[in-house]
Amino acid sequence: MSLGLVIGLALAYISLLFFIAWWIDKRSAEGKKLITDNPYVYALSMAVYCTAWTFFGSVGRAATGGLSFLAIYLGPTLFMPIWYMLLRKLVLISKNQHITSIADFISARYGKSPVLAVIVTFLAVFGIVPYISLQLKAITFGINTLTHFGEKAPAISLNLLADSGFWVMIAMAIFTAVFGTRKLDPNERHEGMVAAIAFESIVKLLVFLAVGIFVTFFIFNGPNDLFARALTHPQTARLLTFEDASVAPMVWNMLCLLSLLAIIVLPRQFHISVVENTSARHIPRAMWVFPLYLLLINIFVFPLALAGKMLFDPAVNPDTYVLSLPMSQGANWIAILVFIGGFSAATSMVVVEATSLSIMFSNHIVVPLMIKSRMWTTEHRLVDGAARLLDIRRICILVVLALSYWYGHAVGHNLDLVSVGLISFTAVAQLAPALIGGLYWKRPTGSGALAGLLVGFFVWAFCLPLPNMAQAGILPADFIENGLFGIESLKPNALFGLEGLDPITHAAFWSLLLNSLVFGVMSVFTQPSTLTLTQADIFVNIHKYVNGQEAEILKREAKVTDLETILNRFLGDNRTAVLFNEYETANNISLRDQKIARADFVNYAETHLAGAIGAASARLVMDSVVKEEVITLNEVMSILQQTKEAVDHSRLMESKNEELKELTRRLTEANEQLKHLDSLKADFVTTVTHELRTPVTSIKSLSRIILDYNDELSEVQRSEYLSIIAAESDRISRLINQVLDIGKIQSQSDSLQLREISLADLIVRAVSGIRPLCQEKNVDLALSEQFNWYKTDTKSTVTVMADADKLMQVVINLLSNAMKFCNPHNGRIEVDMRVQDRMAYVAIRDNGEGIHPSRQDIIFEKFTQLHSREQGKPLGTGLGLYISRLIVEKHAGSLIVVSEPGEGATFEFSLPVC
Amino acid sequence: MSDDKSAKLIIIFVVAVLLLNYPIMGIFDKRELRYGIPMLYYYLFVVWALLIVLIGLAVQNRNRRKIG
Repeated sequence: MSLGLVIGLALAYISLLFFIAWWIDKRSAEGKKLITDNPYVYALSMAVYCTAWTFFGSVGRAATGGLSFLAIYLGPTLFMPIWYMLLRKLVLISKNQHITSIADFISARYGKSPVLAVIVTFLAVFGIVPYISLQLKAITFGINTLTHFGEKAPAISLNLLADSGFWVMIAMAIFTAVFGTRKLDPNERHEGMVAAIAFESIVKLLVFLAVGIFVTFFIFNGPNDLFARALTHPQTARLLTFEDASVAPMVWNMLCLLSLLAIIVLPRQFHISVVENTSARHIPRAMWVFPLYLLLINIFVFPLALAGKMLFDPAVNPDTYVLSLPMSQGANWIAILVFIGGFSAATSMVVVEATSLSIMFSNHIVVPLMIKSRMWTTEHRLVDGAARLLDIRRICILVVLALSYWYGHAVGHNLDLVSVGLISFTAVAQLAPALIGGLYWKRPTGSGALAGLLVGFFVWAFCLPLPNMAQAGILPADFIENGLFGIESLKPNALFGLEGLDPITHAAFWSLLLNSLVFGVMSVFTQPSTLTLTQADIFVNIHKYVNGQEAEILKREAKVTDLETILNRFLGDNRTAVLFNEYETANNISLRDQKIARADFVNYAETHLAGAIGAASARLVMDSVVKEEVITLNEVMSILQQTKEAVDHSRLMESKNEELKELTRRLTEANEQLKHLDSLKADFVTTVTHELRTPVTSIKSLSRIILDYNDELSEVQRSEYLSIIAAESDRISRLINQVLDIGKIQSQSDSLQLREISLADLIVRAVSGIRPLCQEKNVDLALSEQFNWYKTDTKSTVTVMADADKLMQVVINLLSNAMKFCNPHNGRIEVDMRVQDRMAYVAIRDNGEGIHPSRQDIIFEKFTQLHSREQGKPLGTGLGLYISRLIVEKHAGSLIVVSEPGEGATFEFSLPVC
Repeated sequence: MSDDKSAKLIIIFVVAVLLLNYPIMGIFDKRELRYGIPMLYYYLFVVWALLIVLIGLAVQNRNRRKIG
């Protein structure tokens, strides 16, 4: 097959990619819905993970290490839950902070540290160089296999110009530089590139499935035939199990872990899955579509490896099986497809990786240097910052590819593809502790991250690339055998005496372990800066900040014109004008009228600048024009004071609120009481009118009888009627008096005319007042004998504070009640008095029917009257006892009744003795 | 992310780690064919497919519930 045909095909394919990217960018510029805003395109672009390593290297690895190659693809599926949670957080933070690369991310997390950004960039560049060299190597031997199949592979030429690898590198560099830097987007979104990558992912999957089906079903008679023959073939039978292929559990697990870390921290994976992510909503679907893609592209790897092992002699490089198998059958068109597929895999990786590295390189190394050297402020300033940035990136891409070519040429030529790739995986995995640790733990400091990274990087370099370089003759090989400086425990393949592991597992174990340890310990023993603390809070609690809250403690201001100049230089005039307009519309102010921009506009400018040149560089640029107001102690105090006032105020509100509640409660209570009283009053009025009507009715009817039949009535009848009228009139006047009494007592609580009086005296007077009535009714009224000597012995006189008239009313009321209810035949009333516990008790006992216990409470209510069994009709008004109790209670005493039916009743009132 | 979803994902993760590790993987690490396919190869791909299905159900069920 001619070289011209192969190159022509490659060029045609590249043109197709350019067309796709151009078309998508055009659509995007026209404002149409982006094809990249789709979860399937997102998942397919993630498949940039599958490079020439997957396409050629996996088969090579399977031919020697059996199924262990699968760990690299199973790992991401196995750790999917962790990856899912991490990725969501990474995407949210990156959108919030305008993150452009993994170096930017780590530096932003640790206080926008420029040093950290530089270190991460260097680590990423050195770590990725072997990986890119792998792609160049794969394309080179792809071309060689196609053009020189069956011939001996050409010896490595010392003449650069005669080496096909060199031309491949030059071609890839030009392609990547042109393709990856077609435009400068402030957010580093490259829709065209992503769409082209997704397209390449489809190509490589379809091609790989095609060649797998061809080999399995056309060279062999289906998988059963292939595997049955593999089982009997001694070369391949040992590959069927881990045990025979000597894959240790430790190796398997370490590969799974490395692949998980790689899928998070590889610059190109970070770029595609985080920076280019258009919406966090795409993540869930990508979480199963992407593993499914990995499964499909790996199904035929193992059969292909077995087939190659059975069909070819051991001299054939297993990394070329995918191409050699169809070619050996004369199926050249399939071989060409395979080449295109492999080319796809390699170019997509190189384009994204180099683009991402060049963003880091220009943002974190070149731009800061320019800022430091004040290049942008001098007269020879950047004429057009945007164009200059793109040039810088193009140069970065060339440098990275040249380095990769050199590495592949000088160091990696005798290693298989997967071994080279794993060196890179181990290198970038060093970023994981600082990245993941900083996402869930606020404590890590910039120093901790820096120390961890450096330790991890040095252990990696010492264990993997340095021995390889030594074996390639670039470095003295002595330290491999005898350890560094001749120290036994410093052998790169058996660090600290740990032997029996393969170099990758060994290096990954030590580098990650020491990296994490140093990171953790340093973080605990150093103090984070203020900015680191602020950033840590944003990164760890990103969900809080997603709703647009900005945490900025520092007060910063700058001249509007200065900011405009900066933005113009780095973003271009148009973009700057748009940004100014957006801000002015959103905040409804005119920036041109303001001389000094306020803190929020400074932040606004910085975040957008960060989108173009990274957080650390943006910070540097801003620092040159921004006056950062140091917060003085007084200001802190005033802030605290304000806070305190706010807290006090809220406390006050709270207590006011409590008071209000209490007031409301009391009001409600009062209202209830009023309602109750109102109903009582209504009852009272009803009862009083009823009580009044009865005597009025009888007076009315009797007087009418007398008036109408005056002549016919006898003298006796007339006088009887008149006496009834007189009695009823008395009753009415008594009732009215008592109602008036109640009103008086109730309304005027202080109406009592309290004086010191002798209780015995009062009782004796009351008794003597009522005695004639008793004698008339033939009732025996007896005072107990105490009254005699109370009266004579002044020392033991019981003195109470009382209103004599009211108290007299009570006693007379009780006595007349007793008189009414005592036995009508041999009535007897006893009056007794005693003093106990500073209380005087007066008891008035009758010998009547007594009061049933169920009625004893009711008699003290208004208008309750007991019906005498013998007289049948109520006696009195029903207000006497009510008034009596009212009066006694006003005197801080009490009035009770003790009675058994048939045994008479005893009314006893008590008063405090003074 | 809901706790429910996290719990599901964590269970899937634990199951995956158990299935794709020794000693369980050792049960299938035999030089035999199952349905004409090497046992380990067969096992790894079946577990892999199973995991993808489980993850798909776990991460997408919220949307489905909204529709249903």
